[in-house]
Formats: sequence, structure tokens, C-alpha cells
Amino acid sequence: MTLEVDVRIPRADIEAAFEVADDDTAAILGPNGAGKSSILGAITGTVAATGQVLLHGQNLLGLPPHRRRVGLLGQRALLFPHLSVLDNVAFGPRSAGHSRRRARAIAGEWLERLEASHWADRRPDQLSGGQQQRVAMARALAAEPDVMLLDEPFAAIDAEAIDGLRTLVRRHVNTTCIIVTHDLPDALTLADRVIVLDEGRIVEEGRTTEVLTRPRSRFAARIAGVNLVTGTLADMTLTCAGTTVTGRPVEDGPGSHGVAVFPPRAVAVYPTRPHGSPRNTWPVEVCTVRSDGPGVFVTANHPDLGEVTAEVTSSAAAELDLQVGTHLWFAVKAQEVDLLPRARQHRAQRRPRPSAI
Amino acid sequence: MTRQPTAPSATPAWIWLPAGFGALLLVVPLVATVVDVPWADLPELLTSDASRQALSLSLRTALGSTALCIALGTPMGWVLARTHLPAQRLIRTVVLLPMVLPPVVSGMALLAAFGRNSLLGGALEGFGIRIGFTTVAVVLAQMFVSLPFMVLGVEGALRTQGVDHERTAATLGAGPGRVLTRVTLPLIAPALRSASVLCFARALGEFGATITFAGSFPGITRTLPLEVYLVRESDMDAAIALSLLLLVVAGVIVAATHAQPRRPV
Repeated sequence: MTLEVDVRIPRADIEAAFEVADDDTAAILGPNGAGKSSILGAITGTVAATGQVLLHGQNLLGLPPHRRRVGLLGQRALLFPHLSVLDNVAFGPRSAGHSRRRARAIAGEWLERLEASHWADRRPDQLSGGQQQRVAMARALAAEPDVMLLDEPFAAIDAEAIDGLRTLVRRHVNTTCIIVTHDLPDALTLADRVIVLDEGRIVEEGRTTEVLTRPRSRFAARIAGVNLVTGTLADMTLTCAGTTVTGRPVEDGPGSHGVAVFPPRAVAVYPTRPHGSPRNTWPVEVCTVRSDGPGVFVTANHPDLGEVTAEVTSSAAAELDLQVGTHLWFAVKAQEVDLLPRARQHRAQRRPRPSAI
Repeated sequence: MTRQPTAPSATPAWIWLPAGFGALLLVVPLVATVVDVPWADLPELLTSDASRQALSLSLRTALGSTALCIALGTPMGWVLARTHLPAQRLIRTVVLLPMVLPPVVSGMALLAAFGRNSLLGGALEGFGIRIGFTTVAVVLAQMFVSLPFMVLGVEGALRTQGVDHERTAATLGAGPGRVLTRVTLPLIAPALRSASVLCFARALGEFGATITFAGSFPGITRTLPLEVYLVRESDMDAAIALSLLLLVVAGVIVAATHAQPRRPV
């Protein structure tokens, strides 16, 4: 269901209008205090807002929070400490009017889907933070929301647990979704579109890859400004038109659409083909040279990969004779390249909505 | 046997002296009471008609007033914690006033409200309802002094708990009633329990407001503390025996609510 948001929150001086297409995921990026969570609060009903939030023609702002069918997964799992894991997940179905038995059956299926069945009888305080978050995700999904809001869902999770959780979100959150995040991989793997918020206003909006490769806003430039190559993922490689990029897989998902991410400073520049060298070496032709502080950014074109940017020191730049049209070789070590599955991929593999269990 | 190593103490030596005196002040009277107990006659003293009557009345009224305190105090605590009332501070002050008021004054206030010649009492009398000097008056007196403990306990628990779990429950489709019964109340259950125990203790020990407002009629308004006070003149042994009973009940209550061991910081 398409979600149309057009809200003003006078107390926080926020004015934002955007749309999330049916079953798409939008990432809201922005510095702390930009108003990201307040906008989510306006949608769930915890923050007073004027304007409208339209979901299949109905203005959610006129409904009490429990009738909005908007699910929320925040930084903290907020499991109910007095209920078992199973009964936490059964809370939504139970509130929807299912019998206790039926609600527990639904909860059991969701726990199974999220590979959390073995914790069903535990108390929340017997689980780690990552495990609790996984249960919280099962609980939110079991309520079958029409819209899912993720408010920095991995911010308080141990690094090693994040990849697994992100994979679960990509597989199981199939509804219209908004994710607030600080994290580049979150936006890349989960979001179709990116909305950049600063001081309560939307300063940039567009397709994820476009915003992150060519950021126009200061904030997007700070977290992004990376090289992105989209293509087909295999085990340790990504293939884009005839050229293969080797990297380290960040998450599972071979055989699907993916993106290779590497920062400009990971790109080494050579006047001739380097020998005995990194896995990724590409002949390129310089299109722009721009100096920014101590670094010089060389953007060059590759017939298959498109534009790739390298950051070199100014002394190195002087030796290289950087002119538009100069032919150079770019090289990137495989361990500097993150291979991520792309958000689009889960659209293709979408499972039927589980409402018919 | 190995000695546990202890970190150097930051406690000044002289602090033991006032702390010790304070402890003696509390402990000596309690020990003296226990020493004075006529153990041989105890069963007889505790099972006399007057004692049994007073004990039964005390338990019934204290349990009744505690139940009413839960029923009324929980919503009051909710209102203070979760709604925006005009003059919130003034309201809280008035609600908590009976905690610090001398019980006799509380009794006078109740008389002024529900006594025979008062506005409310007179009106009720017109309907044939008399409150002053009845068991109902005992319950009212106990509620007047113990209700603030419940309100304070619930309000504090609700504030500490915050609203995050409740908001989460709403996003899962639970309406306000369901959130209250399935999330809020279970979450504040420990605080509710300890506040109830406090209410019960305060009600059981209530003396001043009861004797002022309800009087001292055997079987109707003469609760255990009143009985202790009255028999003291004629039968010191009986008074001591009943005191022991109240002391044991108080000890059980304190042990049940504040028994968790605490490590020094």
C-alpha cells in the first residue's frame, strides 16, 4: 500500500512530505536531531502532528494508534518482560481477536520463520540484545502491519549480530516500510529510495544508488560519497556488464542483484597496468579532477563499470599528469570492497503475505 | 579458614557512635516488649473474647480498606502520572497531605465531613445512613491515612516504567483497555504489591483518626490498637500480649517487602 506522508510537527519545527510506493522501502537519513524519529512518531501516533498520513485513502492521523496497523521496531526491543517469548509474539494476534491457542500458533510460525523457535519458552531477560531484537521483529510482523517502521533497529546491536538481522529484515519485511538509519549498508541493502532530512526539512530525495553515489546534501555526502557498482552477485564477486569485481561478501545472497561498495581512498591510481597486483584492476579514462582539502578526487570512466572515483594525495596527483581524457589504471584490493545484496532483490523473491496461514 | 580480603574502609570511626545510639533507641523498646511478654498466659490472653473480637475487626477493616485503596488509588496514581491536570502540584500536595497530618487531625477532618452535624453526614442521615461511630467509619479513617501510600507508589512506578512498552503494545493493535490490563498493570505489579502491603500496615496500625472519628465500641469500631490502649489501664499483661501480636504482623510485613539484602556501596 502506498503511504503518502505530508506532516507538520510545529513543536519540533518539522515539515516533511514524501511518498513511499506500494511495498517499497524508504530510508530516512539525517544527522541527530534532524527529526527522523519524530516523523515516525507522527505516523505511529505518539507525536502530535498536523497534515495527513494517507494509507489506502485513509488519513491515519485521525485514528488512534492501535487502529493504524503501523508496526514499529525501534532501537530497543522493548519485549514485555512479564511474558514468555511466545506470548510476546502472540500479543498482536491476540489483540486482533484471535483465541489464545490460535494466537500462539501464529506466533509459533513467526518464530520459526525468524529462526527463533528454540527461545519460545524463555523470558526476554534470558536473551541477548540481538536475540531480543529478533523476537521483537517476529512480534511486530505477527501483528501483520500494513506499514512497517524501523527506527535505527540495529543501533544497539553487537556488530556480529547485525548482518543476520539485516538479512531477516530483507527477507521478511515485505510491506511498505520506512527505515531510519545512520548506516550506509542499511540503506543500500534495504532501501529502494533515500530521503535525507536536515533540521526538519527534506533536503534530498531519490533512488538509493543515485543519492549515495552523487550526494548533493552535506549529510549524504558525509556518510556516502562512495563508489557503487551494481550487478549480479556470486560468491566473492559481482559481475557488471563483462567486468567482474572481487570483494568480500558482507551478507549471503549470491545469484542476485547486488552492489559493490568501496571508498575512493581504497582506489590506487597507476599510469600503466600494475603488475602482480590487486584483484581488481581496471583501465579508465579521466573525466573530472577535483581537489578537496588535502585530497584530490579523480573521477574516471570505465566502459562497463561507469564512473569510479579515486582519492589521491596532491603530490601523487602532480606526478600523474591528471588531465581530462588521460588513460590510467585503477586498482582496488578485494578486502576493501564490500559486496551487498540490493534491496530490489527481495522484491523478485517475495513470498506470499503470511496473512493466510 | 581464609579471610576474605576487604578494601580499605572510607567510614570514619566516630560514625559508629551516633549510629549505635540510634539503633539502640529502636531496638531496646522492641526487645523490652518481647521480654515483658507473659509467655505462660499468652494463649489465654490472645484468645479472650475481647482480643479475638478486636483482632477480627482489625483484619477485616484493614483488608477492606486496602482493597478500596487499590481500587481508588491506582486510578489516582495513573491520573497524576499520565494526564495533564490544571494545578497538578496543588492536587498532589492535597492528596499526599494525610501522610504527614497528625492522625487526630485526620479524624477531626473526617468528623467535619461525615459527622452527624456536618453537611455530608447530615444529608446522609436524611437517607438513614449513619457513618460516624460505625465500622464504615473505621474503614474510612484507615483509607484516609493509607490511600496516599497507594497513590504515591503507583504514580512513582508509572513514571519509572515510562510509556515505551505501552506505545509498543498500541502499535501491535492493543486498545487502551488491553494495554492497561495486559501491559501496564503487570509491569507495575511489584510496586502495586509493596504499596498494598504498606497500606495494609498503615491501616492495621491506625489509631488516632479511628478513635476520633469512629470511637471505641467493642466489636464495631474497637480495633486492635484501640484495644491495646484501653486494656493497658486494667491489664498490662493483656496489652503486652496484643502488642506482641501487632509487632509480629509488622515484622512479617517488613520482611516481606524490604527483605532483599543490599550490598554496601
